[in-house]
Amino acid sequence: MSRTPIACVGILAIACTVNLSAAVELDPKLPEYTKVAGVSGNLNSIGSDTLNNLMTLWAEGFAEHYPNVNIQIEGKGSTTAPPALIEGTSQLGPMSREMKSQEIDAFEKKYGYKPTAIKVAIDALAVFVHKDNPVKGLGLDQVDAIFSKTRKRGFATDITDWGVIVPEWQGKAVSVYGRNSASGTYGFFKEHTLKKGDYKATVKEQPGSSAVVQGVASELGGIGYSGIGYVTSGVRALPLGDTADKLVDPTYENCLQGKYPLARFLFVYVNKKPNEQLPTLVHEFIRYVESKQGQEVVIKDGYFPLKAEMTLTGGAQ
Amino acid sequence: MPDADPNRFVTARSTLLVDRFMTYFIKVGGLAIIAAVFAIFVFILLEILPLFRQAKVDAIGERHGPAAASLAFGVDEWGELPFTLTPDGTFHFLPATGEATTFHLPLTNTETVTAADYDQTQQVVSVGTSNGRVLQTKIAFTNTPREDGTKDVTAIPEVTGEFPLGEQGKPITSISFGESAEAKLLAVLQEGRVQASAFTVTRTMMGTSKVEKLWAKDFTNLLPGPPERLLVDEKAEHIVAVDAEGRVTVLEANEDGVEVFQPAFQPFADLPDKRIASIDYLFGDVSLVFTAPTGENRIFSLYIHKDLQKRQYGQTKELPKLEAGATAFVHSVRNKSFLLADNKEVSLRFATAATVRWQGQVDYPVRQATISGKYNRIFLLDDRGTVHDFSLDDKHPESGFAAFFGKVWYEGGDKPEYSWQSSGANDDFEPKLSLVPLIAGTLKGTFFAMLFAMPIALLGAVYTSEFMAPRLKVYVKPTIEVMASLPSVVLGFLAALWLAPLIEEKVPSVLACVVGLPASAILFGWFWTSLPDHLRSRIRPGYEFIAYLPVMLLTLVVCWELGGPLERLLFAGDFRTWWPKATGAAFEQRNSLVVGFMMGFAVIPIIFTIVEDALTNVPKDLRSGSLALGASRWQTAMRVVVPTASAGILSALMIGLGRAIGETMIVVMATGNTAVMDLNIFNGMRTLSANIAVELPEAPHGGTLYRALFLGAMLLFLMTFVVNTIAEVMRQHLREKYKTV
Repeated sequence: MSRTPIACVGILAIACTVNLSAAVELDPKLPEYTKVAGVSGNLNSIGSDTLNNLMTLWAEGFAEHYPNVNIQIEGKGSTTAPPALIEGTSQLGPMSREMKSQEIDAFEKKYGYKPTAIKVAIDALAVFVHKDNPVKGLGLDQVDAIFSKTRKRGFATDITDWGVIVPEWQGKAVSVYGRNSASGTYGFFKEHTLKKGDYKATVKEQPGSSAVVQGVASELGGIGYSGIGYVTSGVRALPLGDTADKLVDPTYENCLQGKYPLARFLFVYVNKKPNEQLPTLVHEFIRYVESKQGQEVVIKDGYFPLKAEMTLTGGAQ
Repeated sequence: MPDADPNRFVTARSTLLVDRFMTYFIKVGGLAIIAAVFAIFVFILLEILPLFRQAKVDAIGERHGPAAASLAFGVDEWGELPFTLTPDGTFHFLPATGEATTFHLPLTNTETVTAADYDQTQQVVSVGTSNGRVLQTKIAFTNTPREDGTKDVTAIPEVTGEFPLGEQGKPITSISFGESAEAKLLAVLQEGRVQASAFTVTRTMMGTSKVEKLWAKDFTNLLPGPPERLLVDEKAEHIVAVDAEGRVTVLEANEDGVEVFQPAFQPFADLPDKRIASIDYLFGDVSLVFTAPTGENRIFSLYIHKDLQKRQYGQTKELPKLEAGATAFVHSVRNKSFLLADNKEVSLRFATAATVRWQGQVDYPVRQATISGKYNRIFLLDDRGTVHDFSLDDKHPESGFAAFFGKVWYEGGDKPEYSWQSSGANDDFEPKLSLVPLIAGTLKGTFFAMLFAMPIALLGAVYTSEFMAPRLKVYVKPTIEVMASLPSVVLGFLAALWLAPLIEEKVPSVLACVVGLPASAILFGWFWTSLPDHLRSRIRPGYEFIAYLPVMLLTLVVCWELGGPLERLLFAGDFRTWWPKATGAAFEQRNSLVVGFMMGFAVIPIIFTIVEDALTNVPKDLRSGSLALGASRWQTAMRVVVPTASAGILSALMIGLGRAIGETMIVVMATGNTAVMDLNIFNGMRTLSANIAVELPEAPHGGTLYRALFLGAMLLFLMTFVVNTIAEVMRQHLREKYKTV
């Protein structure tokens, strides 16, 4: 009998996730992907962990059209994408942040032109807590005080105890999970939440987004961040706001309107010579990703799809 | 009887040949190994040497611009096309060869430009005119590679807006503009009065943005005196005002206006001349670089002051003195380096570890300077309008001995510290490359591993070799040796996913077992020896452990179950919250205890098997003699066998230590890889080897991080080298001592 409440919470959490994704609708202006002839070969993708599942799903969907195409995907973190693109070990560089000037410099030094960024999906970078955590939502200044030692958002005190935010959890330590520095999510969170401040040394650096979510789910006092696509029933994505009185849910609509503070594009970087088309295989893959089919996959994986205007073709058929 | 073959003592030729061949082969093999180790050393050394090289700056040419004073001086990111802005409102773009191109600002007849501010990151020039107008020009550059590999850079200037601010007709003497993703802030100085205007920018993901004017205000009254110069930061939050007496006031813009963020302070309050010769931001706009008229150079950064619990500017660095105050200042837009120039001295410095990267003399007064976006060209503008080009070769400005091993006061930190945080996602990130926390982490991990492994392996080996029944020994030794063949990634996996959560839940139980087990063994030993002989002789020598086994199991169960009550009694019900409160140190699930256990597990078989061999190799005569003279088995083992085998035991420990220092996978998986520096057993660590494993995939080939990782490898190499050398010396010494037996 003691199991009932747990089961209820589980069902509620599932219901919530379903609700969140049910609201997402595909832009009808997105083009349908049509198969072309003569596409085969190998495609390597090295980069973002946030995009890892998505890349795998796209690769599967793409392979349905072209059985002769072999796609290999490695997702250790966005920072591994530029070196691989530069060395030529990959043709696709998925990244959950934009390339830094230093990385662009290194690319340009080798090829003489800049790499091309292609938007592939929208992500609401989410702050997760354990599903039984009573906190309603967090202001970014509070999040900053939990994760950062520099507290650039100006919250008055350091937060290491949940009691500062939810009085009934007085004495419960905040256990902070984050990503390793190779991660674009690490960088994006640092730039936008910490205002480029520094992480505390006590943030447990996990090698992947799922490890972060798992860590948070296994610990009552846990908190961590990752792409919204990694949400599980053991954790809850918090509404966020600039301060605790202006909370916004991480929904598609809020992301599009720029209300959710941690909305971002996910990119795939490619090596495109100016005034020349991409190699056929890469070109077709990108066309698939930005098509109706490709963006359906995005919804399936828990991220948000692009609007037609955001794609390379800008919605023109 | 036939005569014996006279050649019967002659060795066969083939044997001699093989013998001679093997002599050389082994010699060559040995030398090759030494050569290979040396080659690895040289290779690593060559990879890290560039880290300690100074910057190289060479004059490569000059180009001639207008003689009129320049108000803004900049260059494209490739370092091909510098430009100046003259007071008549003309931009002069100066190519290396060929005619200069110009672009005229839309000014009225008598109007001149009186102040300008160039934001190299946004490539926007904001100008103030003698009529009190504010204009903004965006300068975009395009780069078309030519056939011969050179670049054809063209500038596309475009006036993007005019801001109505301040009073018409009065000249603007200082202007500064800041723009972030969400806000814009503009400040101008007009006849001693300061005016500012703020705007908010709302952007949607569809790429549209809306700019709204928030307010425009005069806030001269907030300042202690009429300012001379204004600076707005790139986040459009702060306005820094400097007056003639060297006072700096920082104001903060908010939704309805401006308030004082930090009251006036004097960066050179301790000098006789308190004035400020130059002030500007460092890249990232959280640090201010000052020079005094007498040449002192200081950096003030924003950090949280302990007393105020608020972010304020405070001095973090003092750099070597220049001969005079700087007449030109420019910071790089790639890293934390900046260039200072007075009338003849030019100095390129790096803020992080307060190092001078390059210093040189020029024979012309420098009026303005600029560094190209890619940090590969420097341009100096002299008083006659000549632009002097310099090539800049400084691949690793953020490195250096002080950066790797010294305490550094990083931007945003409230004190100098050792810190490792190698990469961030934004350009103005300050890499923190101190290897000290990693060295400390390596030593910490090794210490806890040895603390666990050494007693168990040593005592286990002594027991197996000296006390255990030989029939059992045949099974025990190979079993433990099989343990050594377990891949460390499996151990790490077990540690992270099984042991760490288990220990976290049951710390008091684990502690009780750690104390209880050895105690019960000693007690049982004492109890056993005090038993009458007829009882003891029921168990054959070498099988005594059978009597102890039930006691051991009982102790384990009791200690494990005791954990709960102990936790309630001693640790207020929850050890995890008690520990941080009682000691002030953190409690992490993936901690040194877990690593110690698992790494100990990896090290134990190595130490065990070598020690056991060393003990077994002690000549039988010694043992028999000792026993014959009436010594007990214990006395024989401790006084005769162990000392004789001490050389071997020492090598075993050192080999174990070497393995623990270099162990990677267990540490990567079983700790949080947090680069903290403490001895707290319930906190994690990051070791040098784990650091290399974690960060190598993200280190661009040939970059500073890449080479810093090699430096870590070199340190590991040296650490094991030193440990092994000491071990070898001690071993030789011990061997000499026990040679007679």
